[in-house]
Amino acid sequence: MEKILIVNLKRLGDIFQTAHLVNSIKRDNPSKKVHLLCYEESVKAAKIINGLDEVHTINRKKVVSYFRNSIYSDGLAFNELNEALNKVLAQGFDKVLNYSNDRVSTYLCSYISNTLKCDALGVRFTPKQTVEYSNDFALVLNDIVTQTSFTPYSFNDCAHKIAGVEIKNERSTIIKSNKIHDKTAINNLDRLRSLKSQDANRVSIIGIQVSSASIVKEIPEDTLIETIRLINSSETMIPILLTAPTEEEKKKASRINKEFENKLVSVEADFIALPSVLKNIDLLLTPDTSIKHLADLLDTPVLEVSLGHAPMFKQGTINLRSAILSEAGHTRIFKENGEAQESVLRRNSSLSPNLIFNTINTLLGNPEEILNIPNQNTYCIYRPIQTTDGILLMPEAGPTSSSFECKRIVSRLVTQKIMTGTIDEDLITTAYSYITKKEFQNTIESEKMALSEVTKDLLSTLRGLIQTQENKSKAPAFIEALERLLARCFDNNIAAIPTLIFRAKVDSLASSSLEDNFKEVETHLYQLKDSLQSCLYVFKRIEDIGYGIGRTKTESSPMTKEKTL
Amino acid sequence: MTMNHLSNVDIKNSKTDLPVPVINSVHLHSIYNPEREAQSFVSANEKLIEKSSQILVFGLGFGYHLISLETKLKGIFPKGYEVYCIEPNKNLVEKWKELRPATLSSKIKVINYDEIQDYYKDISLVNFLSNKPTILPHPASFQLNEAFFKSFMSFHYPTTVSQSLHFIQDSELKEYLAIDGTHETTDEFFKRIENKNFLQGKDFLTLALSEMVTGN
Repeated sequence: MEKILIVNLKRLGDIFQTAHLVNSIKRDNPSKKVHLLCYEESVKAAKIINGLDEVHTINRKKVVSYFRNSIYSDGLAFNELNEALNKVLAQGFDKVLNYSNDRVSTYLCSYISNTLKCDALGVRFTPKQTVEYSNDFALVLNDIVTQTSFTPYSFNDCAHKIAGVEIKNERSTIIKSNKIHDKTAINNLDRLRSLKSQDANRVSIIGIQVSSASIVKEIPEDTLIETIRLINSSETMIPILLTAPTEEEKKKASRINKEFENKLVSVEADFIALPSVLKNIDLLLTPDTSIKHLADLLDTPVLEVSLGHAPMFKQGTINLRSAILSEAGHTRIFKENGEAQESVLRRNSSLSPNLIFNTINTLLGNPEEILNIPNQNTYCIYRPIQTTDGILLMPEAGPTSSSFECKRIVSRLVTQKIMTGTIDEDLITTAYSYITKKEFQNTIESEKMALSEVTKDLLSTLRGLIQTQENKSKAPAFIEALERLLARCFDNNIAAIPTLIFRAKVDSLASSSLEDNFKEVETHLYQLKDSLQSCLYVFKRIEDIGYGIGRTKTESSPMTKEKTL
Repeated sequence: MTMNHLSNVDIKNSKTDLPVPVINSVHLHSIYNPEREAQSFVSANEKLIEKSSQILVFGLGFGYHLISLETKLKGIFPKGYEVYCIEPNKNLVEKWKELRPATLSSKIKVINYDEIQDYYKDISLVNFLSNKPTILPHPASFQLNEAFFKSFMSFHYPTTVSQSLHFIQDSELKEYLAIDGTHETTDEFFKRIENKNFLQGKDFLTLALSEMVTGN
């Protein structure tokens, strides 16, 4: 009976996401024991995940407080962390999986796997402090997903590939819910539907999450109020406000409710009661929140409004009945970059309530209620599609960039080809229903040019290496060529992917002296050459398949559907 | 440590016939009615007391204020509460033990040590402090020992690894920390481990801790 420890030191939403992996592992083999190590502050999310045999915690706040507060001895911090881990080690594990992939979790996974002499999945540090990858997808997660704007795979897909398990989409029992709460939620929500219309079956309840952890991710309050007004005036929809039991959220909900003479239903629920509500509404409207992940786990459709730096391609909703409303992907910045909060909030304020309302109607299948959208709309609708190896967000409508969207799809195919040797040709066919042949051709032409530049840098590095092996005085020229090649990692094109893989492998070389690693560097350079060939192969297959599809079908891709918004 | 910490304690009787300690001419409770004064003290601090079931009281006196406080806490927090009382004057604590004018439950702990560092070596007190209890100074005691309580609040625990060993329960970790790192500060220790050419065993734990406490 295998025992696996998943280490996830991130916040509530990330803990909920772990539930997908727990579910897949358990459905694959119910006898496997799955434990989770998380921070104490996230345990309330972990506690409602079915399938977790045990949850272990580190009281991070206590450890940090002991260390940072000068009245306490640092020994208390050491002791607190050590005692928490001793309890984990006492369990004994066959595998430890570094899910959160941050530096603390990576050191902890190294510590646990070394102490227990068990397998480490994901990344860990070697004794020489280089990074060790358990498989190629650990590298994809650590070095590609976090570095490029294309995001070939979501975090959830990467975690499954690292663990070596298939994603199981049967999610009916992932989250625990309380039967009494379930019954109360069903009764109350059905009563609401009946009050709205004689034909209660026609009425949809829209749960609205009023807040997010960060103000720049929140739907602007005026926009939210206008959206609720539209929902409320619809004959077939009822808005209900969802709030966590915190003073801040309660105040916001109450402020919003005042705009409606306090006639809106407001549900205050903790993580024990919330699943019962989410299961019984028809759609959740939310900014980037942990609740979004919870709704995914409960198979409730979500309209995610992705604002600020919310990482939609990495951690967006994965329910095929959901959608994401966002500024076009190529204009989004997914990391905090010092942009003034006021500037982000100003951009957020351009989001139209009509657009949110229309998208809700589309998701609910009510096209008759579509409203006009301002001409200057900068927002797009993305929807998850199921591909053979995971979820991919596709642009359904809006002023998105065909070049950027092509690159996202090509990045998936190139990563597949490099990591597995094959590509999902069905994805190419599917992609042609979103992106025209012309748009693909234009992107591939410019990508070929970028690839040829990287190839030149590769050849010059290889030449430099060979010359240095013969004559050490040539080393500076080799180093210069290598640096030029590694700088390609930061390029905004597909060739950055094989270059990032190369850089990760070079960074993982065991010796600190490059000279000692000439042979290994040479091997990796030849692997890079193969990877660049893989890119060319993918480009060619896209062109060939596009040629086979012909013109008629491609001219009506959703990318040209801006007006339907 | 100031002279007050060993000051002699005189005893007077209140009008209500309860013993009242007097130190350096300062009466620590009302000479008329210490119990009523204690009730007023609790009423005046009601909002503060309601905030937390864990309260740190500065100053013992003869504990009348602690009895009133406990009565209040029982009503607000029926599921449980915890009070630590810090009293720097050893003579006062002994006199109080001898006379026992106010009987306290086991939920109220009176602590007295010779040195401030000793308070921060008391693991149960430190655990209590880490929960950020409400601080309630007993006015007369605080006035008498102001310098002590200010030093208590602004104390800096020595940051050398050797001073950390007292808190380490695990012998393996103790042994690891004791090996040639004892004269370093914790920051120096972190840096040395980070710069090691070959990490092993608890080195990974050390670096996890270093990241956890210094990262965002």
